[in-house]
Amino acid sequence: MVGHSELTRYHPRRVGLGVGPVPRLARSELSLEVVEAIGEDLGGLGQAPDRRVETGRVGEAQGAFPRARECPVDLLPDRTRRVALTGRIAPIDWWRWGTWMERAHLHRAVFHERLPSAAEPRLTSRSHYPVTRPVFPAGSLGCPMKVLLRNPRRELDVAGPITVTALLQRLDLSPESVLVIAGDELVAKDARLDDTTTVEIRPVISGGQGPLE
Amino acid sequence: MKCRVCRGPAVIDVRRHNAAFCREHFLVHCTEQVRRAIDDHDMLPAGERVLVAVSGGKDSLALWDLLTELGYAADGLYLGLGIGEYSDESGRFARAYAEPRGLHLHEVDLGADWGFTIPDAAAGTHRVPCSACGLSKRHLFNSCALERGYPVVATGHNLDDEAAVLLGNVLRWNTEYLGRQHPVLPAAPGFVRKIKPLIRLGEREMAAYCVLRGIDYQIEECPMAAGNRHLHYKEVLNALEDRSPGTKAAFVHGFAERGHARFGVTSPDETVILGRCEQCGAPTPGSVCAFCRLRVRAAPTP
Repeated sequence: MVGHSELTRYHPRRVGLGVGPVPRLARSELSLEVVEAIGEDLGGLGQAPDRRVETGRVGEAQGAFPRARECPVDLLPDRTRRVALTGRIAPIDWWRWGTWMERAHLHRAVFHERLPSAAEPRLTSRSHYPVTRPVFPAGSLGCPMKVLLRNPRRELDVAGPITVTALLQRLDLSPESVLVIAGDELVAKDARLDDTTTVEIRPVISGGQGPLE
Repeated sequence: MKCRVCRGPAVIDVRRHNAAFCREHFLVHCTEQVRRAIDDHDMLPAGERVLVAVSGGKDSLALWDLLTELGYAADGLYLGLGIGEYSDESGRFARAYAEPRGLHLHEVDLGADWGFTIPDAAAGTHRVPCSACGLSKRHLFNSCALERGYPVVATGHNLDDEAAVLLGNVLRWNTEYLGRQHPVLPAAPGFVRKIKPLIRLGEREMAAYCVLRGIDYQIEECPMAAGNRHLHYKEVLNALEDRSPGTKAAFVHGFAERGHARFGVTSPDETVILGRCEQCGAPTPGSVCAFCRLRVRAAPTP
């Protein structure tokens, strides 16, 4: 059995709120005991199958996951409610969870924490556990926004909404060295980026300087 | 964030000024900073023709745009360096800026006009490409300005460039270079005046200026600049700036005001007497100038 310190390394709070870098645990180290213990530590998240996702039409939301394997949750039609306009987070495959956590660390991708609103009924019987769920934030389509980086050119998925400052912190970029362009608009550091926005992070440092003089 | 001037929504913050600006007032801020740099250092009398060294990047295109906005008679000079697709694309950006605005862009191609490219020069001299590139640019911008009757060449060196160069020169105590590092290099026999009007603006501001003015520029980094020492200096300076906004400006402007004079030529014995290059006629302390020596070494062997 693993100790508590090892379990907390995977705690979403540590990842999502930017407390600090999470020591990476190789997939080979993810024993069944570790994964099960993580499940317990997270308050039985896997046992809350009917957690609702505030999103648009389910079909759209599903189509918005071009790389579904990279997402921490499955998005399924809410058959129990027979409502086509809502979705739910399916029980999490903990093995995939471990893989996703590795990627989250590698890509400095994000977890978000959402506390239940007063109007939202608690759907888990284990409500005495801390509510630290790896869900996309309220208002999100559940689809990570596209972030274009350059030199070298590459594209990342980051869950929104998120502020420019938080985005740059997560990507470990100095605000002095980049501009953030949402759509076609230059945005200030306190601007909030929706997950429908395509964001370009444009480097401004050029190094083609001549010799010393 | 709100614009410091109009209190409208800001699009960019400038931490060293402890300010944020909306689009309109940020453009005014950039224009005023250039005007102030020109006035403070007596760079450019009104009505004087100026040749802007244009690379297709953000700084040179923004400089050309700002000088034109300020009413100066500014023409551009693009130097094709022969760095493959990167140079081709840079030239396209320079032309795409000049043509619709009716501005005059001179063009010189190293390969076609001088028989070598920067990759050739780097291979031929076994030195870093940036060294050959800087040498070629300085020589050709000066000679082209003289040939075409421009008394002054303006380059897009910004505050970050100057801070990085200054840091490099201080770290190695290159006193000769420190003596020449100034926003204005006065004209001398065989040399036109060289000015750096962007000395009060950082490169983040220049990139923002281009975005807000709708100026397309070469974003990709020069493939031959990888590992350039100045990139590391800029990273270090940005880390300092992040913790203490205004550090770069204090470093550069403080040196210009209080440090530069200490590194100038102090005695007639230190004055280098320049002759004329036997091959191109450019001023040189030897018989053949550095550019002509580079040309010989870089020319591809048949």
